[in-house]
Amino acid sequence: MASEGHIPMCLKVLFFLIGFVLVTLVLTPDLLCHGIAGKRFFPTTLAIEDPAVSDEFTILISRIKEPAEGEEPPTVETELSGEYTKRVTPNLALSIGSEFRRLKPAGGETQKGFGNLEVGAKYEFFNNAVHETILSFGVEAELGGTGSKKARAESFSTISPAFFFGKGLGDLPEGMKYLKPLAITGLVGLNFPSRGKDVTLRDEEIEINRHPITLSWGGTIQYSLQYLQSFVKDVGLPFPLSRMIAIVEVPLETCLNRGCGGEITGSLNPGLLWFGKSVQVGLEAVIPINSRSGKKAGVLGLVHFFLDDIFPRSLGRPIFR
Amino acid sequence: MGLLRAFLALSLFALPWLWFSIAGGHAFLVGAEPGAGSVLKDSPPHIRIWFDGALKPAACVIHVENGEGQRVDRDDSRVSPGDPRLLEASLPLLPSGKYRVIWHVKAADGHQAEGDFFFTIQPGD
Repeated sequence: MASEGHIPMCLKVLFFLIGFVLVTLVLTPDLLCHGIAGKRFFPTTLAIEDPAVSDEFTILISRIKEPAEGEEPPTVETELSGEYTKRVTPNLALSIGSEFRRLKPAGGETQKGFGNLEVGAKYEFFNNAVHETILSFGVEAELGGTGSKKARAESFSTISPAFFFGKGLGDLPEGMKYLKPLAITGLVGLNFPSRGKDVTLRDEEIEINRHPITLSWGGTIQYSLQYLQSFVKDVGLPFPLSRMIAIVEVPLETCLNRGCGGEITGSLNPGLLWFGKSVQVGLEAVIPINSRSGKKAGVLGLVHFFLDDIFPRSLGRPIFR
Repeated sequence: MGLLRAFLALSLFALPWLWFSIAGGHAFLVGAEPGAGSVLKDSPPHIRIWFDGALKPAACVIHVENGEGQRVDRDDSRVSPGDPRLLEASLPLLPSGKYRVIWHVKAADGHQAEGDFFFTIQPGD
C-alpha cells in the first residue's frame, strides 16, 4: 500500500501523459501542414528524415550496391519501402513502415523478403514563421525479428532517438536575395541495438557479429525555385518548373563502439524534387563517400502523398486538434 | 526488376493527384501583378495575386507597405467575385520607391498560407 503523500508510479506516468497532451494542444498553432514555416515549404527528403510533422504516405525505392563485408560478397540491394504517418495532434505524429527487399549477391542466389517493421513518433516543438525554422525530435524503433531472415532483417531491435532541424534562409538581407530560396535541414541521432553481438557456430568455428551503437547525422541543402519565383524574383518559370527544388543530401553514419569506432559511412545524394498540392516526387543519385560505403553509385526515387491536403476533413486531420 | 515495376505502378497511381490537387489543399502563389522583384516605371493601379486553389474570401488580405513600413494600399483587398483564385487590392498613385506586398490567405479547405515580395517604382529618364 502506498504511504500517505506518496503517488504511485502508474499515476505519475498518467499525470505526465495528460500534461504532455495538454501542453501539446496548448502550444499547437492553428494549422500546421506538411512542412510549412512562414513562407517556406520544407519538402519530404529521400535520405534524411525531414523535421516536419504531417499526415503523409511515402513510397521510396532504392537501388544500391553494398560493398563486401566479412564473408558476405558485394550485393545489389533493391528496396521498395512504404511508410504511413498519422498526426495525433498537429505537432505529434506516429508512423509505421516497412520495406520489401531484393538482394542479389555477386555469384549468389537472389533473396527476397520483407525487412523489419519500423514504428516511430515525432514531435515538432518549434515552428517560427519569420525565421523559417522547424525543430523536432523523434524516436524510431526497428522491431527485430518481424522481417524475413532471407532479406537480412535483423533479429534484434534498434531504438533510434533523433533531433531534426530545418532552416530557410528567407530572413537574409535584401542584398543577398538570390540566396533566400536556400534552405538547410538535418538530423543528429543515435541508434541503440537491443543486443550487442550475435555468436554463431559455423563450420565448427565460432563467428561473432557485433552490433555497434552508431551515430546518424547529416544534412540537406535545397534551392527552391517556387520560393525564388513567388517571393524573390518572378523569373518567368512555367509550371511545372516553378515547383522544383534542387537538392543535395548527405546522410552519414559514424560507428561509435564494438570494433569499428570512428568509422564513417554515407553518401552524397544530388537530385531534384517536384511538389504539387497533393503529391511530391523526387529522384536522387547515391554516390558513396568512401570505399566502406560502396564503390558504385545508386539511385533513390520517391512518391509522397500529402494526406492532409488530399483528405483535409477526414484522414488528413490530426486526431486531436 | 519486379520492385521497379511495382514502384512505377504506384507512381502512376500518383499521377491523377498531380492534377486533381489543383482544386484543393494549400494555396500556393502562381503569379502576381506586379511580379515579385519587378521594377516598374509607373505606379501600378492594383496588386493582383493568383493562387493555385480557391480562397476563402473572409480570411484573405493584401497589405502594401512603403520603405518606411507605412501602409499605402487602399485597404480594399478582396477575392475576385469572378475568380476565386485571385486576390486583388487597389493602390493610389505611388511615388517612386521600394514597396513590400504582404499577403495572407486561407484556402477553401482551411489551410492558411502567407508570403511577401517586393516591387520597385523607378521612373525612367
